[in-house]
Amino acid sequence: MSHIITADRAVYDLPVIGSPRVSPDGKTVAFIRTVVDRASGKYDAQIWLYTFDTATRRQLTQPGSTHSEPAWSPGGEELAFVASGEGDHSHAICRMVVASGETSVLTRGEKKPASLTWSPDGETLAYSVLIDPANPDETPVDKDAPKAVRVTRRIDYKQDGFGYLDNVRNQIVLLQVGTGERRHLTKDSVDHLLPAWSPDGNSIVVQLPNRNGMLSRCGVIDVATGAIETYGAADGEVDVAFFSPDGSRLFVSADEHGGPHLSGYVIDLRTGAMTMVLNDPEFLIDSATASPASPVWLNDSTVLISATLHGESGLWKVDVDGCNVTQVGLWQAGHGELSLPDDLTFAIQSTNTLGGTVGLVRIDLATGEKSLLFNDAEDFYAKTPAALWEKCPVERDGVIVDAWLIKPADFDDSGSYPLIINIHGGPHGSFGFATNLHAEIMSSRGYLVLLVNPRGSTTYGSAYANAVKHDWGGTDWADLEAVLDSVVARPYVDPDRTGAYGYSYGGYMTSWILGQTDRFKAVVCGAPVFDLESFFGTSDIGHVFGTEQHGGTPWDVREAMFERSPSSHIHKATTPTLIVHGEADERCPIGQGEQMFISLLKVGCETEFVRYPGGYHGFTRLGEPVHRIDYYDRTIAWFDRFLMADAGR
Amino acid sequence: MSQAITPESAVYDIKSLSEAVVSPNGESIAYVIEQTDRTTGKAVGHVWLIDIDGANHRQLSRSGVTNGSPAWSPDSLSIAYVSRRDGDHPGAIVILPLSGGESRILTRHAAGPSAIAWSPDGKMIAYQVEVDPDNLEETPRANDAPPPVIVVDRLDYKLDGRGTFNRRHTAIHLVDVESGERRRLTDPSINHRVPRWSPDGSSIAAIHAVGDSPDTSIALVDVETGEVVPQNNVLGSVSNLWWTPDGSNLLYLGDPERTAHPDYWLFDAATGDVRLLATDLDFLPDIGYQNAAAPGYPVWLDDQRAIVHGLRGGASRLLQLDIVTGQLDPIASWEAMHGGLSATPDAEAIVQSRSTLDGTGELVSWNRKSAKLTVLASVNQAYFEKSLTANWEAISFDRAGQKIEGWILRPRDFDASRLYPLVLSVHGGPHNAYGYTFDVAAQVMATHGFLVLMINPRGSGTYSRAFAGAVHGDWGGEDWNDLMTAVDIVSERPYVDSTRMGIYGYSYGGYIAAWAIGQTNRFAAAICGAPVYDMISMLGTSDIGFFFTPNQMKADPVKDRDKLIERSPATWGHRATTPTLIIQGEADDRCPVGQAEQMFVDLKLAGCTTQLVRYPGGSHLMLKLSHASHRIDYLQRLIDWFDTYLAEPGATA
Repeated sequence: MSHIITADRAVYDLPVIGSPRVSPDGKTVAFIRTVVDRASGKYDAQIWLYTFDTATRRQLTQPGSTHSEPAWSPGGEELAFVASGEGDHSHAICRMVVASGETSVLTRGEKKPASLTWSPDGETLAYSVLIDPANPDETPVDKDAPKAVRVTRRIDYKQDGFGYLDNVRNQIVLLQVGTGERRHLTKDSVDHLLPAWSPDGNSIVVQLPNRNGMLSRCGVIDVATGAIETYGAADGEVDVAFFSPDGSRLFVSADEHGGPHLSGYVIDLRTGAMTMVLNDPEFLIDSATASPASPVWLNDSTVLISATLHGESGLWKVDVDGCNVTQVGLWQAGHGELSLPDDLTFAIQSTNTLGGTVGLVRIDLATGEKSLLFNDAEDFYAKTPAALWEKCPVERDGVIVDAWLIKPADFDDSGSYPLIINIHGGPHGSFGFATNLHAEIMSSRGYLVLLVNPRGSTTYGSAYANAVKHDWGGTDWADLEAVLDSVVARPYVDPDRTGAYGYSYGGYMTSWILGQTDRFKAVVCGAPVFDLESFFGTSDIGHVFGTEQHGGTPWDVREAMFERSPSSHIHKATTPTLIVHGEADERCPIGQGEQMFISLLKVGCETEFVRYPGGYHGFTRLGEPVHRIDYYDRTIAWFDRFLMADAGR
Repeated sequence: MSQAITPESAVYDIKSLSEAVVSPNGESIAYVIEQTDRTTGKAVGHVWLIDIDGANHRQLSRSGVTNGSPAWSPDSLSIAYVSRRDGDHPGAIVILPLSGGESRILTRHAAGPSAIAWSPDGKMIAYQVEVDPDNLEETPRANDAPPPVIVVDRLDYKLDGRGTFNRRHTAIHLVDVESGERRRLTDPSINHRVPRWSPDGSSIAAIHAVGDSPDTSIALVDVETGEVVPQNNVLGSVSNLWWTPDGSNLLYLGDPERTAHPDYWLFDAATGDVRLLATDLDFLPDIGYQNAAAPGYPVWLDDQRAIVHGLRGGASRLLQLDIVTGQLDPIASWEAMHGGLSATPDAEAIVQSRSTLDGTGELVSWNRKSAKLTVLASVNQAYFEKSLTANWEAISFDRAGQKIEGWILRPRDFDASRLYPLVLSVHGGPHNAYGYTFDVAAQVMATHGFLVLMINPRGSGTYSRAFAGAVHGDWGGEDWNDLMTAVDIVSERPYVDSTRMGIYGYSYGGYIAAWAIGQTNRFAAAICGAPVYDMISMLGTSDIGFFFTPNQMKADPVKDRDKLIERSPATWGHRATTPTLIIQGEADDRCPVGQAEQMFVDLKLAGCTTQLVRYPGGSHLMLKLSHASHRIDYLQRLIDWFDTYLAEPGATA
């Protein structure tokens, strides 16, 4: 069974390629390659350099630290980056002369800096970093002292992945490259993210998230005085903002109500006017966190946007004065962060794609031609071939519900296969052409994996995404069942061996399913939303998200929340269910899994509850590697036990 | 002028005295004094010894992180005690020879042993300790290894103060006193607790868990063969058990219906039959320390009669129990709360620890012939000479068919011609009770300048099954009315400023405080500690929620959801206007942090003045067990919040 992708291999042997940064002259690309070191069990992220002339790549930084945030100096001779090690003040901002490899540390700190960006004159680096106003100098805490009591009056006092924050927020810091001197540019106890310099270097635009990142505005900071001018609706979302080449305008993706699908706007900095230039596009503009360098101004009236449409990645040019949109290209692939050289003739993006590609692509902006610079997963998939896939959309209620069926590499249509429906999170997430590790692992073991984008999913326009609001477990579940019915009817699907898997909102849906149907033989439910009322008060985003998704506070819409809570129907469950949950998850807190587990035990449903100490909401992707392996192995074992037992294997 | 009982002095300077046990020869008493260390901030217990007449007070244990649970060897020549040490296997049992010579560590475990009991021949010690069936060798984990994944398939998968168990269970062990050789007697996948040697030493009785339910029963373990025989005639919850002197029966406290008010039962060891001996008691039998063996044994006068300890109206009494007739005769009572029960062999001197409204930390001996109580030791005497406790007054009133009792604590310099702010303090449980005992939080508030009203509403323990049970299915109903009537009555007094009243409660008391702010705006400030806020999420997240909530509310979570919602403070929190401080241990598995989080978000959205205070690592018992700096912080915040929001109009804070 050499074709099996074990959890161990998936975690240890499959590299991740990210943060591509083209050098200003367009001759090289710096990027981050992350693997897990088998000996230590820890992540190892190194900066590599790809050279176009020779089509070769080499590692620039050395093991011992993990690296992030490569940023070219305006002249292109140097790279700034963050090196993170262990101990006190373990995060260093470094500069490296790329030609010689000579590296020096500019400053060190307790928290990891993000979004390193050079001023146009190359003298200053701006970045965002978590600052505790009670300890701005980052004096290390005495590890033997009792932990400080946590006292707060703010509703957004905690955040998944960071835990308790109170007034700890991301601030913009300016670092003098010559002297290593630091200056805190912002002080208000709100987050300041994604700094980008104005062309004249006098201003920095930042994103100002609030309510734990559920909503945001943007701000333009005067570098000399620290004064900040704020743009965007108070209850809206502004995802990312960039200065036009002449510095007079900002392009932002934004929504007056908080998304999830954003439109394009231009803000005139002289008048403050915010004008919509791209009205409710069907594609989903890549979010700021996924693509910190997008959109990019190509000239004073054209913006290049990286976005996803129906699960496909593409680039579009937006004429912000004519309000025209032109597609540069659209590909059945997953593309990530975007970077352009000074001459703006091509774009580099990271890629990871169904079928087994992990690497970088170059896209010619004149022709739309795409070329793969390298595939770092070649070795991996040479030993264990990637899954096959086909689209399997279904029309329901006059709307196309998009879906993918992932098949084993050795798929034989005369066989009879068990099927797992994998339900994405969000609900405003989406499946697409990016690699789905869970699907690769399961299909390599002989499962069909069904990926559906039911109503609520993004990349199909705002109406489709918003259709799930106030209707969780309704039209979304009907979409899922419609696709499931059509696929299960195929001759090679064994209708008696189907299972459901989901995490987060997908965990909501799997726990909802338990009270609605006994069609599945096994369920794996990760970090579910289980009781909408207790979720409202315990999730870091519950009080914003709950109101947005369900129409109000518990006291406004208690009956509706009750009706659509899996907790209200779980007593009907009979399907064997594995619950997997990170104990430090502040997004879907462990209490949700606890309530579900106790309910299932009390009704006599077969269940097991697996808790990952220290695991936050994203632990299955970025957490402790041995926990990730354990998570996949238990998922496999649970489905194998109930779906493979009779298969005679 | 006397000093107030300040948070800092209360935490650091007040010692506790407990676990007093008289030697089998009747000559000495071993007991434990605990005090918080100013350097480490942690409570340190040591075993002390005193002659039976109160002479020769001396400290026995010297080392160890903390020590407790002394147990006398049958020949009275040695004391075994539990000691926490540094290192990988911190849980130790130590043997201390009283003839002189050094103490020696008899055995060590990764977890802490407890309930240590000498065999009648003095050759073995039985005890309980938590073991991991997957690591019976107790191999320490590598420090830098990622924390192990927790896999759960049982209802009772976590316990407040202990966290998640994984597959760990408590098992009875035996250790040879000479050789230190030890063996595990019971199955490491079933909880067995409280080993009790039969008088002939052939058998050990223990409390064993029934499945993963909260129910417990009796098991008999043959010491020779190790055979464990569960006694299936014993149903429901067994909270403590003792052999009769002739070894024919086990006297035990049982509460099969989970009424929170146990009965005396008798288990016939030969036939396995059980008999209800005395029921519907008008006092609460002292169930002692459920997991510790030392104190609280019945004092047998002969094979038929025993002296037992009980509580009524927040006060201690001794009774004589006849195990043939079931007759119970009161023989003494005090305006005090006693702890433990131990006597000289002739049962003349009965030794207990004592706490009152005027102090704590006393060792007392009651002479059965003279009916005279003697204080043998008073470890806080100097402290209470300079830091005087609050004045107090007992009150009572009749309401809705019940007599309701309570106490008012007043500042030491109380002046009836002045106006005072009043704090209603609500106990936890709901089956705890206020009474004639030292309550740190109440003393801190009262000596600071507040009137503190402490009421035992229906539901409180120490009265009767009917009184305790009256709250079942009715949280926030008649219990609440009892409390409000008490406030009505007391606020009529001329020295009570009814515009400056606050409410404070923890646990069930936190429930009532959270309930209060959704029902009334009569309180100008509230402090809500570790509340039960949303009964539905409580049911699935509290370590005991799966049985406690349905049992307390007489509600099926599916069928009776409306009742749970109606009586959840969460349903009314959005109406609150009272400035409310929420205080919560982050590691509380009894009333989990999610309850406080839900409350905080509701109050914030309602525009109510509120503050959330979270204590990292704090369990539900953080007021007892947390680092001193957290306990001081907690007590100080009680005063500060009420000082701010119950301030006299025009006063500058």
